[in-house]
Amino acid sequence: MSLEKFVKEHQDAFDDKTMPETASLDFEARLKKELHPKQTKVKRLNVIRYLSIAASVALLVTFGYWYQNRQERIEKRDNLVLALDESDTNSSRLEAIYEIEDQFVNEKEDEKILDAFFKILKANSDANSKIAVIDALLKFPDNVKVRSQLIDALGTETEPLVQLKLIKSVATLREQRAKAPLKKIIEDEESLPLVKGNASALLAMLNQ
Amino acid sequence: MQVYQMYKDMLYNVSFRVVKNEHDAQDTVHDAFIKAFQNISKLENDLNLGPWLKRIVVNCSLDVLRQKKKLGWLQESYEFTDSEDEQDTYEDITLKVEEVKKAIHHLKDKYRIIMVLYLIEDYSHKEIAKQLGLKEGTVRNQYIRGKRLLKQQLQNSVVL
Repeated sequence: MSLEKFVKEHQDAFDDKTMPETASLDFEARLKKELHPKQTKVKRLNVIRYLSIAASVALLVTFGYWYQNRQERIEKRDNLVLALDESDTNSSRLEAIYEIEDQFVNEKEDEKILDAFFKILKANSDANSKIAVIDALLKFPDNVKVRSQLIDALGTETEPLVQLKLIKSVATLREQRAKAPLKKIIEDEESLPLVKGNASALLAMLNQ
Repeated sequence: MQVYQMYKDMLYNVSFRVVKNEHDAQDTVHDAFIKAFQNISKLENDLNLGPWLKRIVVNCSLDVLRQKKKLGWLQESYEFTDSEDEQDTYEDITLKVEEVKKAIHHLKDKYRIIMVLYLIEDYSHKEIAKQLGLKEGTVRNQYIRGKRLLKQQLQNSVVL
């Protein structure tokens, strides 16, 4: 059953909390207050004075902030890579991959992060983590190392879902070097027909 | 007060799912009712009162998170251009309401809020994107990620 269907069928069970009775009294009092609000004095602020102070402070801290920010990002990256390395459950690993992707995807590729991702691709990780890593790596299609690692993975991967994802990825990269691993998949008796079919289609495209 | 009594529990559940805190949820429901009473003239059809109140409470709940700076992830969300394949099924897991609720509750905000709004509150990806100021593709992808993480969590709980 799909998750969506399950939730729809059990919608009522998700609404099992009740508002405490005391809250009703609080609300009644608040409603009265809101309907008869007291007039409040509007404080006049010396805007120019505050703005000039703020501008001075901003100038003083800008450089310090930039430097600190840079250090914090390096530290954050190291912590995330460490968390990825030490993740002992599939869900924590997947979460760490997504976190890294969100935090660093708009930046230039980072060797440390790429190496951590390559490690997952090679290791005996779960399919979801590998698929997430492939998605993350595809953000850097021009990186030579990324391209090579994806082709290597295509030659060694045996999990059909990951194989399909890799075939799709290599297709977008139009990598001629993928021909050998594709042939290997096609000739492998253990490969699923769906995987073989996709591999054959890509091989034909690359041979054109 | 009749309207309040009729809808308070429903709205409390909605708000609690978003803000994850009972006290904040109570305050938010009260804020939502006040806002609704002040804008009651904008309600065109009385039959839509429930859904209308629900929308208001969702807005108020997200405002609470914004005030508490718990929506910082919105700035960090990567804007996806391609939609990933939605290939996750839950065929291999026996779903139980309590476990699903618990698993959603433990997701990070950036996945949880989108999952809650889409799955339980019936928002579309487009509506969520508008509400959170994200691209629709980003919401769609965060939802797929959330589903994958949820699945992993549920599988873990079965193993444990």
